[in-house]
Amino acid sequence: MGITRKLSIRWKVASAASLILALTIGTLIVHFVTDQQQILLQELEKRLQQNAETISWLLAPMLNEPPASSDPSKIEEIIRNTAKDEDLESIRVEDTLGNRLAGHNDLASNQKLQPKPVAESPIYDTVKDKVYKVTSIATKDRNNIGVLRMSYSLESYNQNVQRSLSTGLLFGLLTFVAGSLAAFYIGHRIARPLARMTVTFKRVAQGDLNQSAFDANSSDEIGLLAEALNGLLNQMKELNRHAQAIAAGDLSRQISARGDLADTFREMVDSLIEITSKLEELSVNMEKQTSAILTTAKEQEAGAAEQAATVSEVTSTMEELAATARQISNSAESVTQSAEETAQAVKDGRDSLFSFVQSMNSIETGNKTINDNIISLNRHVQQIGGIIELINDIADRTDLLALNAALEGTKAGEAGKGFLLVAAEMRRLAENVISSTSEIKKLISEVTEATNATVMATESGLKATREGAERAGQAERAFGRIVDSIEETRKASKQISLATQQQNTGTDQIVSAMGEVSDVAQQGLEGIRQTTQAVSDLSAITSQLKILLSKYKKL
Amino acid sequence: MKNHIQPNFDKPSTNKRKVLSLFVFHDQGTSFAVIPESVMQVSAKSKPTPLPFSPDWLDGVVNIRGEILPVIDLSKYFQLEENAGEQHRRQILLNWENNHFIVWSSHVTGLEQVKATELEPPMENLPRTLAGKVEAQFRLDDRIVYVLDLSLFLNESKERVSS
Repeated sequence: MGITRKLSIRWKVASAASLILALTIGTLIVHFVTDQQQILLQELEKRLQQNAETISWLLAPMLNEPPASSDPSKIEEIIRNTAKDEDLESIRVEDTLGNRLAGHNDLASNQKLQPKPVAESPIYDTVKDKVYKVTSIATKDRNNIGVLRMSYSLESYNQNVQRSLSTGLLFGLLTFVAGSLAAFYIGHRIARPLARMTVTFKRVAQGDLNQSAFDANSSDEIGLLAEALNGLLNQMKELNRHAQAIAAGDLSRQISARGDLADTFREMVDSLIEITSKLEELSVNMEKQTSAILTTAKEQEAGAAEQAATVSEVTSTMEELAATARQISNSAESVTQSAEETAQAVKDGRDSLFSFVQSMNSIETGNKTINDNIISLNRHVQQIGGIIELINDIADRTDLLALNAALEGTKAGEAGKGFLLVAAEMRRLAENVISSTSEIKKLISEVTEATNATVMATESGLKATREGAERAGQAERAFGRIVDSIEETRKASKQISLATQQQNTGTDQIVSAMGEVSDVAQQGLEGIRQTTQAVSDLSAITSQLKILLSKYKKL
Repeated sequence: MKNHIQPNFDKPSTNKRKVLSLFVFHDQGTSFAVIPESVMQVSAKSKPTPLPFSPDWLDGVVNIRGEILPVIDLSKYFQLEENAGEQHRRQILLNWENNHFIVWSSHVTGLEQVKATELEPPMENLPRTLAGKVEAQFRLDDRIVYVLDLSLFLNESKERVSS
């Protein structure tokens, strides 16, 4: 298919005609040769049948006689006289049992004359170039008395077929050459004006409209095509002039040409006028809009730059936050560890406090016993004090008695001297007793004060011990609550640790995302800068468009 | 005045070996001495019954064996400085010329044997309240003991009561 597209019309016409001619000639040759073969074969078969029937008819009487009377030489004579056909190669006569009775050239080809089914097998064998014919020799009452076997050569038949084929091929070749030449000439006649038109329109297609008109003298299809193409060429020239005027900015010219293209051209001019008008309006609006967009774009650029800076700051802050989160995570782990250590310490403290409470209870019991003993001691001391007071009173009375006795002794004169000495001694003893009781009283007072102080101190200590035991109990209960709180704190701090680790991961992801956001913000800033530049360029283009549109001259 | 100590300061050589027995007692840091014959009884201090319209040195009266006796506070009478550490623990029943009265004492030393040579005339710079009522003075354990002239004391006290 590719080759046929490249061929010119003349060659296409010639090739098509030659192909059709070749097919036709080939078909005719095949039919001719086949017919010739059928005819020759029918002739051969007919001749073969006639020879077989003739020989059978001649041999029948001889074979119908008794075997002793039959003479093979007679049979062979008959065969030689009868078989004058130059294509007959061999002949053989057999009895009903297949015994050879006589023959001609059949010894060499004994094998080929072996009995074989006759019936409907082909009568010739093209491979062996021979035809075998087997015929029954029968009497008039149709009794088989022998078999006639013949073989014919197909050499002459083949020569006739070859000759017919050569004749057909020669005739066909001559016909093909003549037909091809005629077809090429016709194609050339058709293609020549078309080739000229093609060249002309190729130039027109290349933009060269200064082409001469075609010769349209003939009234055939080529002539009509040339006339139509001339009209088309003229119309294109006119439209070209209009297009040149439009290109020069003159939209005021009237197009006189007719047809769809001219109408379309007029519509195009009208559309151009409308478009230029609208473009002028649009360019004015666009100039305003681009100015506004430029202003906005610059503001956006500033905003984007600020945003990028903010995103960068946020990224830095998030990185600091991530670092802080890591520190918090580490601190939370430390807190968890400290909470566990504190929980253990508080448990130890609670155990110690329990022991302390028990010790305080023992101390309280001991202090109570001591206090009771001291109170008892104080009571005894008070009793001693009472006794001492009694002794002191007695001593004081003794002192007074002695003193009064001494006075009476003095008043008695010489008689009372001995009495005076006794009284003085009594008085001295009484004074010693008083002095001793005074010291004892002083000691008792000190002992009492000491025991009172001890009782007070013991009671205070007892009270303090009770309070201490109570406080210790409270502290123990508080420690229990602290243990619970610390356990909760430990769990909470563990959860905080996990949460801060998750937060750490999250902040890392946020930092990564913020890095990407920062990149995107930078890209956005770059895009807005490019947009600003593009809008600036668009503004310049709009100005140029406005100048360009001002050149158009309208109706 | 048979019971006066009758010291003879002009004739010390004749009284040099004479030993006097004096009853010494203390009140508010001041030591007093009287002749033993004037002391009827020393007993523990009893609570006096105050008398209306009486001077402040007269603490009241005390009933001893049916006899109502006035009680004189010597420290107030002689306007001595009160010693806060001392309390009246003894009451001394005195008899002078059949005038019985009681004086308070914080401490009674008792009878002291004093040589006549140890007695001295009262000092000229005695307190005004003591002047005229002290017959003599002597030293006892670094303390000055005033020997009271009970006649003068009793007369003056009567005058002060009547006035």
